[in-house]
Amino acid sequence: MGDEVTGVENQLEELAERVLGFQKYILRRAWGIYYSVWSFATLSWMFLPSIIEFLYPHAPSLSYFVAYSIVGIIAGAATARIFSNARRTLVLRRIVSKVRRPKRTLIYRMWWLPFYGFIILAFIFVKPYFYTLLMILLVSVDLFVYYELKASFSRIPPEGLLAIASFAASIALGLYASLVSNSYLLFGVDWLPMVLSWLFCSLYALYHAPDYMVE
Amino acid sequence: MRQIIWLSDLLSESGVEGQESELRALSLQLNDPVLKSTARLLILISLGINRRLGFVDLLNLTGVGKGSLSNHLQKLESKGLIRVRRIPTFGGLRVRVEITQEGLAVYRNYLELLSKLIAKSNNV
Repeated sequence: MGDEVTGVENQLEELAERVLGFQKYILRRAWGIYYSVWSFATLSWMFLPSIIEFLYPHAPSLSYFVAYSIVGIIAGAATARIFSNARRTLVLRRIVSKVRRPKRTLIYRMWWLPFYGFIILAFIFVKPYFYTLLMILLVSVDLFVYYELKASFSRIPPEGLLAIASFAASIALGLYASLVSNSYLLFGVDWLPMVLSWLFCSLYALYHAPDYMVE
Repeated sequence: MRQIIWLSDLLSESGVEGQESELRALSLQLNDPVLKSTARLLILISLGINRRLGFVDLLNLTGVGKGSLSNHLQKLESKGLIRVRRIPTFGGLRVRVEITQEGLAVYRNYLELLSKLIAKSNNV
C-alpha cells in the first residue's frame, strides 16, 4: 500500500514538475514585458516632467510629482498584472521543493510602503538631496529585481543579469551626477543605459522564452 | 498520455480507514473520469496558475497534436471546468482558454492533495 501511495505521489509531483518547467517559459515572457514596461516608464520619467512644466509653467515641482506619480501608478499596475501568475507558481514550487516561504521575501514585499513614504518625505523636506536619496533608495529596487529573478528561475537568464547590471550602472551614474559632477548633461542621460538595455533585455527575453520549452 | 491511478482507487481497494480518510475525500473529488488523463490535469493545473492561456501555449505544454488537444479541451469544457473563447486579433481569430470557478476548485484540491501527500511522506 505504502509503495502505491508513493507511486501516486510521484505521479502528482511529476505533473507539478512539468507545469513548473512550462511556467519558466511563461515567466520569462512576463519578464520580457516587464522590462519593456519599465524601460518606457523610465523614459517617460526623463521627459514627461519637462513636457508638463512646458504646458503648465506655474508649479515646476508639481510637474515632477504628477509625472512620477502617474507613470509609477500605471507601470506598477501593469507589473502587478504581468506577475499575477508568478505568486501562484511559487506556491506550487514551494510544495514540490518542500521549502517554506523565506522571511527575506516577506521583508521585500513589505518594503514598498516605507519606500514610497521615504520618497515623498525626501521630496517635501530635503529637496536639495532628493535625487541623491532617490538613487540610494533605488538600490533596494535593484536588489528586489535580483531576488524576484532568482525566485522565478533556478538560474537567472543572461538578460536578467544584464538588466540588474544596467540598472546598477544607471544608479551609479545618477549618484555621480548628483554628488560629484552636477552636470546637467549627465542628469539628462544617466538613465539612458538602463532604458536602452532593458529594451534589449525585453526583446531578448521574448525571443528566447521558447528555449525553456525545448529544455 | 497515460491514465492516472488515483489514490482513492488504492484506498478503496485496501480499505484503509482513519488517517487516510482525509486524503480519500480529497482524492475522490479529483477522481472524475474527465480528470483521469495526464494531459487534462496538466491543462487544468497550468490554467489554475495562469488563469488563461492560448491554444499554442497549451500545445507546447501538453506536447499532443492539435486535434487531440481540441478533444481534451472539449471534455474539460463539457464538465464546466474551462471556457474556450475565440478572440479576434490582428492576426485572425485566436483561441483563448480560461479556467472557471469549478476548475479552480479542482486545481486547489490538487494543490491540497499534493501538499498533504508530500507532508505525509516527509513524516513517515
